[in-house]
Amino acid sequence: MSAALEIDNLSYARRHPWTGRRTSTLDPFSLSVAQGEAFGFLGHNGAGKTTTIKNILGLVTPTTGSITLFGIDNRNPASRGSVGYVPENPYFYDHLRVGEAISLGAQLAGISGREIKKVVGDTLERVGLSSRYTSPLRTLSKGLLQRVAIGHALVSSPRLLILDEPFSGLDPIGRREMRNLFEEERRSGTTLFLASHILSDVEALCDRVSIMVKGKLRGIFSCEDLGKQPSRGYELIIGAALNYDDILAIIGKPSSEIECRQQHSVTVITIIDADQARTALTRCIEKNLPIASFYHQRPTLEELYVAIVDPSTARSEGGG
Amino acid sequence: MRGRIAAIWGLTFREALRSRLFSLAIGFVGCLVLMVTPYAHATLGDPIAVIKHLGLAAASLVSITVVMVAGSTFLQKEFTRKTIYLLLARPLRRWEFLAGKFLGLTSVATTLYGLMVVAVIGYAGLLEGRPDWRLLWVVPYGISELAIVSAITILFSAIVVTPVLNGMFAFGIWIVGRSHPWLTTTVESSSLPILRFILPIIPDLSALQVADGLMYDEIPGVIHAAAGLGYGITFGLGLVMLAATLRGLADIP
Repeated sequence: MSAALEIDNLSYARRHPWTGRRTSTLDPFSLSVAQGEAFGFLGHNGAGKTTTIKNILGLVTPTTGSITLFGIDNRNPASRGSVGYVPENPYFYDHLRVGEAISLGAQLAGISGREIKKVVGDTLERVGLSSRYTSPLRTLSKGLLQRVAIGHALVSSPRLLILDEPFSGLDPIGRREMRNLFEEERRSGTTLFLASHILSDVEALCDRVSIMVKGKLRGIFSCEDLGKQPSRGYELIIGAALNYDDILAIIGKPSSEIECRQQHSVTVITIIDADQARTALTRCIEKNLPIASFYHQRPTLEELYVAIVDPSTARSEGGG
Repeated sequence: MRGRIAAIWGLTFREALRSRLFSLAIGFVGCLVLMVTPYAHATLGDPIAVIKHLGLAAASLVSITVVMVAGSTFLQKEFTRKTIYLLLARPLRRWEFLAGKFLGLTSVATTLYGLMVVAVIGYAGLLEGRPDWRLLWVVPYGISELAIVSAITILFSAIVVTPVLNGMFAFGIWIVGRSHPWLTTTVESSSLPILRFILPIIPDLSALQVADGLMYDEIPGVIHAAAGLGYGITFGLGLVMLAATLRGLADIP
């Protein structure tokens, strides 16, 4: 089975329209996204995420290398037949209405006239815009426009969804709804290629992530492997203000290092040793203390990202 | 393929219909014809003929202006608003996009032109007591000219960076096209043989002007009208294909 997306030795140098001088934007890199996978494409602003997407969609011609979508060279427009694209900012024609914008996506994807009405209705239902069928796009908020863009991408039931900062402009509820929608798509077998710098969303949705820094691909990581990194201890949060002596009285003298701090009216205890953490938790339960949370701390994607994108920051944070 | 071209066609047509340019153009011609009525009655000749003549000339000029303005700016607008990303991220070929835009622009201008010609016939008919349906002969020639001008603006959109420059080039070609007989005379009397190569690539828009003849009962005939229409559409499609070839190689900024 061919990969959903195969990038082989891709590089891109932007050409000045007048002088013809080329400025390198992407250094050569290769990556492959399997069918059904959710792949995160991380990078700071200007790292080259959107340029990579433009290359994938055939909007620009790579300087070197090749790209295939489900085994079809991306220079062939048919390769985009099974692709849905959600741009960073919702680009739409102001004069259109919501239903017309979604219908345009269906028409361009080759859906026949009779089916369009049904497909458009279903898509609007999925993105929560059924009641907005006749609303002019110019009257919508940025968040609603983002939903229209997602609907525009989903209307053709794509096998690969290319998402460029799809959560920008959405409120927290909208973000959660859209994340659920993408998770649903993924469960139904759709491949996701998610370019973003909202790391929590990427971590929650993706199997693997790549990090791009100034046009260079700095590595591809499995989100599962992140969880296998060495433990950084356990965090126990108690919903009461306790001092260090109170804590020692409850959990006993610690056999390993513990750290304790108060935040507003809660107490946060960080315990390195697993047995010690279990004991502390049991004692707190026995003493009927209001436990707000207890979790195992592992290196997060954010820490990995910061370490790669800005090692100096990571070092100073790590040392602090 | 047809569905995708039709989608772009519909999109362009709808955009123009909902823009103010369309209603402004109709309003402008309406005002012009009404304002010219007292002037027409002050002339020595047939005042109704003056109204018809001026009305048809205004309809043609305004439609051409609409095509030039809309055609010169459309590609730049697509880039600025980045709407082209959404279109080309679909399995849409660049020539399909340009062909859809060409059909959209031409049909908008044709609708506008047709409405204005009918309005002129109606107004003159009101003054004369009966509508002069012979004036409808200008429509196929008008469509032909509009198709050529649409294609010229699309071609320049594909190769010229700024809309103003694009509009100026298209306007220049239109002027030269309307002056084709003078251009032919100049070229034939010139000692520079290279100028002879220019003639076939400049559209002969003067051959599409039949309004003058109609005033003197010179009816062009079905075959002539079909030939005129065919000339415009063939020339227009040729230019669109050239634009697609040039734009097809270019990156989307």
